[in-house]
This record gives sequence, structure tokens and C-alpha cells, in this order.
Amino acid sequence: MKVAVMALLLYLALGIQAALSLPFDLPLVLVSLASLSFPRVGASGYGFAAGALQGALAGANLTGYAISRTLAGFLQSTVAGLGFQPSYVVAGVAAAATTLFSQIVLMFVSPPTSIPRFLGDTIAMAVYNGVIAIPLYGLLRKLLSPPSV
Amino acid sequence: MKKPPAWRDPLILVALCGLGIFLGRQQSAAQREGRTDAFGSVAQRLLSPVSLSAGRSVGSAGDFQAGIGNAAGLAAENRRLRAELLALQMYGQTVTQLRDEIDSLRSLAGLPGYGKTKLPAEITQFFPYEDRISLNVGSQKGVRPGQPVVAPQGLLGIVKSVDQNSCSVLLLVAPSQKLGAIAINRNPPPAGFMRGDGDGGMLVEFQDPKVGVQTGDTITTAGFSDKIPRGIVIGRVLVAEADIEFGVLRARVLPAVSLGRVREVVVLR
Repeated sequence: MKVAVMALLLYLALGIQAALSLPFDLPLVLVSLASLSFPRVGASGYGFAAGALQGALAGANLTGYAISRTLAGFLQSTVAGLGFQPSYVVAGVAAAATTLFSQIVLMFVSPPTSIPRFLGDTIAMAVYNGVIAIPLYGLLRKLLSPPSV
Repeated sequence: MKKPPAWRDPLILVALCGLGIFLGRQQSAAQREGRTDAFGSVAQRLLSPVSLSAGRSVGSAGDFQAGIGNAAGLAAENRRLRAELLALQMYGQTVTQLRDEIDSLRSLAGLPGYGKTKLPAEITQFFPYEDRISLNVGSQKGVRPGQPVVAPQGLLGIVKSVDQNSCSVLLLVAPSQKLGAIAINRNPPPAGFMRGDGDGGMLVEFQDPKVGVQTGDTITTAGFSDKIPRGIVIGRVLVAEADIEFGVLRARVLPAVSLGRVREVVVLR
């Protein structure tokens, strides 16, 4: 059930992201929240799926997207495994940190033309992703938590 | 339950990264041949229904970003429009939308063909960080790599890779985009090479610092290529600086087409 919900959300997020020139990165926000549903390997796989599909859709930088999102999923779920209690604030901070990490990996794998511009965009995206992650975390918690009796 | 061995997770991680590198190489190899790789093609087909629905329902990317910047004004306008909408009944909004589409299509229909066949297309996907867009036409309708994509205001980009029913277009502002350009206002029009500046604009370099190109001059395509005809508007010169030492004149150009306002385009075959 959890896998199906996360897969459906990723499908929608990738489609919406490609259709609208959004200032935030919805698939990356989902990767940052993947540890809610998956173990470490699953989160890496989820990151890989998000990155590979995003890179394939963009028609460029597939390697960069796939590697950066896979590592982001792995790192995020590893940090989550250290015992952080999931909350709205933690979700926001995790999304911002995952975005920064992932985009910096992307910068090294596929160097952009203008690094200052890329870093500026990355910081802005991290802030936006952090904000977007908060309601998304609430939605995921509702969708994924077992119904109370 | 048996605990998995410690080496399993890093091994899977390395395997996934390896798979990413493999797919990336496939993508680059396919692009060098002007086509879309198999994985990209499947991804496009899989996700285009969501992209199309999302794109059509919101209108355009520019509207979305403008909406974020002017939320208060739009909220007030929205209340006023809601009142008007009640008066005009439910179909009012649809009529306005259709009128906008007709205006846009009229401008496209009025576009000169520059001696080529015009193929109307719709932008289905935006990738601002990659300076790319996708269109809903492909090789089945005769689209080939290198063909220009034109909006009513001017040239938007060049087809980079083609799938059966879609194509990927590299925008003019992309740093890897290179194109022959002329300053059409001058007599005779000096020719130079245009490239994206990586910051949303373009640079045109003329091989003579005394060509006299000035702020406000219109830059168009030079027609050096068989596929890209002469005279398609690229943009206007923002600032021009002569570099006597290198014997060139560099002009910073503002693109004629604002991507956020465009949905329908024409591919010149």
C-alpha cells in the first residue's frame, strides 16, 4: 500500500513538475520524505526512480539526476534511521537539507555553466522545498498511517 | 527476521549509480544521433498525460510564477472576477479561455512561413533548469533535429532530439545553443554568432568592433543553415560593447519570446 501511494505521488509529481515551471522540485521533496515509507534500500531506489525519470524527461543530465537523487535517498534514510522523531519541522528541515545535498552532488556530476547562478537557484529551491515539504508531510502521514480503531 | 548483511545496502547503492551512468550514456549517445533514447521515450509517454492535464488546467508556467509574485493583487482581482462570473454565468470563463486561444492561434496562423512548411505544436513540458521544452509533435509529422521552433513573437529554440510523437527543443537562451545572427536594422546587416549567456539572455558576437550595432537593434537569424531561414526575430539588443583588443563587438540580447506566455508554437519544416 505504502509503495503504491508513493509511486502514484511520484508519478503525479513528475508530471506536474514537467508541465509547470515550478520554483520548487516536487519529486525531490518526495525523495526527502521517502524514509516515511521505505527502508534505506527502498529510499535509494525511490531516489533513483525519481532522478532517472526526471533526467529522462528533461532530455539531459540523466546521470546527474539519477546519482544525486539516489545518494540523497540513501543519505536521508540513513540520517532518519539515527532516531529522529518525524514531525512537520523535521520534514521541512530534511527536505531543505536533502535539496542542498542533492543539488551539490548534481553540480559535481554535471557541472553547470554558471556556478553562482546554480548555487543561488539551489538555495532558493531548498527554501521552497522545505516549505512545500511541511504540508506534503501532513498529507503523507494521513495517507500512510494505519487507520485508528 | 534475518538481518541483511552490512554490504548489501552500499552494493545496491553502487549498482543504482552504475545504472544511472549507463542510462545517461544511452541518452547522450541517442542525442548525438538526434533521437530520444528508449528510456526517455518511455518516460515521456508514461508522464505526458499528467503533464498535459496539469499544463492545460493551470494555463501556463508564466502565469503560475506571476501568481506567486502578485498573490494579493490576484486575490482581489479574483473576487471581482468571481462576481462577474456569476453575472456571466458558468460559461463565461470558458469563452474567455477560448478567445485567448483563438488570438494565439490567429497570430500563429499569420506567421510567415519563411519558405518552410508550418507545423503547429503545443508545448507539453517545461525544463527551465535545462533550458529545454518538449513539444507534442515528432518524427511522424516530419520533425527533424535542427528545425526552428517559432512563437508569434519570434524564434523560441531549435529541435534537439526527436521521438515518434514528441520532440525536445533546446531554447535559444541555453549556453550550448549556437546560431548565426544578423542585426537587421543595419545596412548591410552585419552577421555574428549568437549563444545563450546562461542567465536568461543571449550574446551575439560580431567580428568587427565598428559594425555600429546599438541598443534597441533587432537581431534575427542569419539563414546560414538550410534548416533555419533568414529573418526570424531572435530579440533586441540591450547593450553593445566594442572590444577593440579582440576585434569584436559583443551585444547582449533580450529574447523576443517570453517562455511563460507561450503555449502554442510552430515548427518550421
